[in-house]
Amino acid sequence: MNNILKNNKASLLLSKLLVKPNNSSTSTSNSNISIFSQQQKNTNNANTINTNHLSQFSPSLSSLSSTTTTPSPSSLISNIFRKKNVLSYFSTSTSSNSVQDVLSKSPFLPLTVPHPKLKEFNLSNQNDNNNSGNENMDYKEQITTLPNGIKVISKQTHEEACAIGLYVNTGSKFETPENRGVFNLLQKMTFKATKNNTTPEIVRSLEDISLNAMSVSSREIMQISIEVLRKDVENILKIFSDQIKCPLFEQEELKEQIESCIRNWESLNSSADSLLPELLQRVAFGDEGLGSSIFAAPNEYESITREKLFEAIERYYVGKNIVVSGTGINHGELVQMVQKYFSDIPYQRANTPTIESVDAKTVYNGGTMAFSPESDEVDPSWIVAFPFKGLASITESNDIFTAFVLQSILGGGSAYSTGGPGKGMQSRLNLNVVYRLHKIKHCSAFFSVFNQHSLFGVNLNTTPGSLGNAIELLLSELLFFNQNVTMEELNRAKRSQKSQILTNLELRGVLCDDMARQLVGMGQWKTPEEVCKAIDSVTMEDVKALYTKIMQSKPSVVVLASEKDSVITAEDFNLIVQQNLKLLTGTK
Amino acid sequence: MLNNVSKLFAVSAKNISGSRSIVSKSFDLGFLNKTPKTQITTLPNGIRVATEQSFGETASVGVWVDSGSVYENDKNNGVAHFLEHMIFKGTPTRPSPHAIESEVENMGGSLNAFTSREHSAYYMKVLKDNVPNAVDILSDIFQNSKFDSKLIEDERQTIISENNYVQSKEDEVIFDQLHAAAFQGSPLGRTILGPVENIKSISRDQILEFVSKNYTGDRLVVSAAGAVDHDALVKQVAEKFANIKAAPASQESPRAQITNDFVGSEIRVRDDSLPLVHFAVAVKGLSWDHPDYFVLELIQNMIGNWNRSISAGKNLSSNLGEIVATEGLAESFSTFFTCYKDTGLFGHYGVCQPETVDDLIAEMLKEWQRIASSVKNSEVERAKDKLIATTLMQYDGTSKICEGIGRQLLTLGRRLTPSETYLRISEITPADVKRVATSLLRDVSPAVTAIGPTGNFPEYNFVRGWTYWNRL
Repeated sequence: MNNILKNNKASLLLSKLLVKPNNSSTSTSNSNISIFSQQQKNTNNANTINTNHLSQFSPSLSSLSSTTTTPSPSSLISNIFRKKNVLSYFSTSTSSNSVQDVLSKSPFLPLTVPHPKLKEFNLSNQNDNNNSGNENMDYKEQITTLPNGIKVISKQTHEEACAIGLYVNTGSKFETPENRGVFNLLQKMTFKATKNNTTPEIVRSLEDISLNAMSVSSREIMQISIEVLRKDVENILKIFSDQIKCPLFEQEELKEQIESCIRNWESLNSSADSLLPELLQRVAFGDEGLGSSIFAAPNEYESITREKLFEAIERYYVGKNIVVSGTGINHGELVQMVQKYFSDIPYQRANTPTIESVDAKTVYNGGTMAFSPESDEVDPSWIVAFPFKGLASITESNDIFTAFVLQSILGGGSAYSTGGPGKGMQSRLNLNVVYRLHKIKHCSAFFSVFNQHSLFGVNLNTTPGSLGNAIELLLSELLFFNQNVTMEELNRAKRSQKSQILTNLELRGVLCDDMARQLVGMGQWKTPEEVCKAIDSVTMEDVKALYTKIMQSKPSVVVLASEKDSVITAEDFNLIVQQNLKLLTGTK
Repeated sequence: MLNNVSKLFAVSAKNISGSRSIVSKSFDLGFLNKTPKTQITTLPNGIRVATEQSFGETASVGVWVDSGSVYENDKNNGVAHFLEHMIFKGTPTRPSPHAIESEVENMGGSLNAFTSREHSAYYMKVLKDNVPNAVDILSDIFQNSKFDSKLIEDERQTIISENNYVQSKEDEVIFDQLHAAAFQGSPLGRTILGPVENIKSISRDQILEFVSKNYTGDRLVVSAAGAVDHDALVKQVAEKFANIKAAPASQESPRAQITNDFVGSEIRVRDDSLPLVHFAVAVKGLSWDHPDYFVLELIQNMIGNWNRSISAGKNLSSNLGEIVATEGLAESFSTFFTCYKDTGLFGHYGVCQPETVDDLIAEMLKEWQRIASSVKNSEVERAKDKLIATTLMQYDGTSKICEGIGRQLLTLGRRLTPSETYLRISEITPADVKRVATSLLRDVSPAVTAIGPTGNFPEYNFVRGWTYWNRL
């Protein structure tokens, strides 16, 4: 919370100062700025620096400490142009010798001219290419399940760059009070020493050949992914397999990472933006299963030992839980390589729990959690979320897609944001909530989908003292939704969802993730074409029916507001919905 | 972002030295020819249409303009950026901002723009059957924007808010200061947004004048990537952009002559209420088309980037990164290489505790001298492989390709193919690295800017001195 406050103050200070930029003559002389410049000449002679005017503009330390205002940098920059006399000694001579030297000595041609050997080079590569160029042109996604249960999914593409990832059907949902935080730590201990390589060896090799090497932990999936050129895919799979087959989890590295986890926990707790969604998850699902956060408490991290890390790897990183996903690579080749490096992993171990037994621990509760900020200057927030079915339901119904379309119709965004049309400027929550009341800083619909559950909701964030009004505005928008929603909005939402999906899947990393996550979450992969078709089939009746149903369920509410703000609890919300049922269902 | 994602490297982290136990295979050169060919057509009014057709369901289409804040003067500084805001506000056939926004969002597309010191770009991302609609919208806003006076008044506050936002970002402030210092007296020294008094006063006439002077055919590139057909696009652009004039009536270049392409100088803004020092140390770099462009890019990669939050920590092969990590000298540092038409900037941006700033800058400049005098052959070779791999991998998705085409056509007049990039990087020798580092990074007067608790920030002559300390 303190951090938020500090930032706000800082920017306020700057903006206040920006309003009066014209005190230039005084601000330059008595404030804490020094400006001097010197000609860049005679660069061959190191000792000719005679134009140091620092002292002239550098104030004494005593004046520094007594200075109360800081001139804003923008006024400073404009000062430079206004007060050219300050810079009376800047050079009017042209460029330094050094760059001309480079030019004269460079054996290369400017980039405006084609490289002289380019034609020859292209021809010689064309010949090479005749042998390997006509490979299988079938660029469909393919899935293979190995004898030990590991699933390999891949899609060939037209580029040489590949995205490769190892995904494991496990995460903090699987943690117990004894090993809380273990998956967050496993994520932090990725790309560390194994029996075959030291940490520096792994890091430096990956630096040489890859982009975007990352490790992600979440409630339901653990991910290691990377982008490389095709020639290096095998290296990557070897590194990945070592990570789960023979990690060392060295004591010293573990200690460092535990400290880093605790620092994360501290910063999580100082930022409402990251903390509130975690609390919402707890209100919705309690302390176990999906309710338990990927972030543990400091004492929980401290009680994690090497043995617990090994135990988690042994229990959960087994064949039936693992998916290897890749783009830009021939499926047969990838399957062979996965077999080479992963075939000795067992299908499961005696202590591996079934996914069903773990999922049984997650029960939706709902309710309200409210707390007051440390000071009146904190921006209040209100989040409401409704329970809904999970990704696995895709096999029997289209509801997940309807919910995505609904989310897009509601849309929303921030009062200040960059970028042009395409981010949902015309969506309902933007037009009727964010743009309507300028005290609202952010309001948008969200849809977090898990394998067996999901949460559909709206979050709201305003300047201090305005939350009550904003909730009222949002509520009326929500209650009148079914009456007001138009076909234009529905079509726009469908088109925008399709466009986003297709655009994102053209990024290799996103495609790799998406294939793996679908396979982990629902055991199958829906192609972009199938997904687009499902979105196309969503009707207005579907949207309205689903909306009415969601709104009548018991919500989870998280509130950060001072006592002065009037807020609405989960129970209030249910009551309001019941009293306005006719409004909500759109029956007049 | 929540901290359940560990990124191993910083944004574009880089390499060097040490053992190498996991051997990477050599490049298969065949694939260099597999990338889509760039097709370029110049229309009678000078507009260049360039496409790279690839597979997929979506396309990026954009107009890149050789026009940014360098084409401004003291009075209208900020107009290029102001124009970028106003161009979306309505035309006779799309009378309001709302009309343009709904049209774009109804087709599931997106429309964005940016203005830099030298370029403005307007680009759309659409499903493939909407490419003609995208060209229609872009051509309409380019030729028929109304620049409604009332909307201009309304927009001032938005731009002032944007300015406030920019001013609250230390890195933005540092780079604006750096340009103000290094390019003082030259148009490159001005900011893109312009001073607040200009934002408050820029008029419709100034905007119209800027458009007619700068948005001419010879300075426009329409580029597209993804599911697009070159011939169809050329035909459509020829028809839709027919009213764009070839070149302004007067032949003189509207771009002011660069009188200073680099000035060694310093600006510091002391503010002890900030917890960390933010600073930049830069020397004159190279222009876009310089023969040694890739050599300097290689040097940038060898020195590398580092920040505390990446999980690779002190195991990075960046020599400077390792020193900074082991000695705890910084929160983060990056190595930047910014090009302009006639000049450029090369240097470091650093964020650190006030008490380590002098050591950090000393280590940075010491690393420059190490590269200039004693860079190892093996580290150059490794860095080359790495640079080739990252360059080939960076084109992911049509937006980046579309942008690459637009920028290269404006800056080089041509498109660098992956083959040429490979050729140019692979022929660099360690001698080239030493030559370029010696001439650019040794014994020079840098431009230095800093904000924050700068009490311990080294005096200029110390920094200057570290560029020629020659005993490693």
